[in-house]
Amino acid sequence: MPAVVAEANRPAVFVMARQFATSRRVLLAACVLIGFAACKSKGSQGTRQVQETLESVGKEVGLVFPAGSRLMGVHRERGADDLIAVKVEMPAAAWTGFVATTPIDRALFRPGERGLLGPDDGFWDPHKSKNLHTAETPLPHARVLNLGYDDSRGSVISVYIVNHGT
Amino acid sequence: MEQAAMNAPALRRGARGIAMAILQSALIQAGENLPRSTKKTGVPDGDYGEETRQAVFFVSAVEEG
Repeated sequence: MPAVVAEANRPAVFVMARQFATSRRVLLAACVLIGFAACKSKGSQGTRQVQETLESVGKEVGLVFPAGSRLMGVHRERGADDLIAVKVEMPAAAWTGFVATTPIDRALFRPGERGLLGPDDGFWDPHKSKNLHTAETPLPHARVLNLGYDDSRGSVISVYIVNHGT
Repeated sequence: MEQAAMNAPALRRGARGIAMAILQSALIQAGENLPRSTKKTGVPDGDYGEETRQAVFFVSAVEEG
């Protein structure tokens, strides 16, 4: 018996059920595809976060962060001058030793933001600091390092680093 | 520096960020007034708007003599 005739002889309920099952399969396939895409997207974001480590960011800005430091966020700009801004929290006890490893002389730090760190945005919040000090120094290859720290929280120091072209 | 020398990408209205805020601060330190750009929080907003654009052109013209 030809298939068309067989289909015609089947009850309408059976045909509707079959169509419903087909559409469900399509819907299920769509859900699986969307889910896969979502997982893949989430996975790549996670990979990016994993790649941004204190060590890798430290190499990028030419600094070595002491043990116990935490990377709070990284911000990059690609404009006429490229820029990387990094916020790190570190133990207050490690601060003096850390500054000694940077190209900035401790005596250069002055109170306030002084136009060196830019406006607050998300994790980047130097203007919320209660005791911010900042300094800047030129680097080789026409770059500048701006450094800020807030020591108002006692045992933890927030450090704001901006490395940018000029 | 290389990018800046080649002017690529050029400063463009609407550009914003920390680099722009640092530029605005430098303009203020050079004697430019940017009341609109510092109105919101008292510090440069990092937006390359008309006020900042004019200040950049003015300082550039003065430096070029």
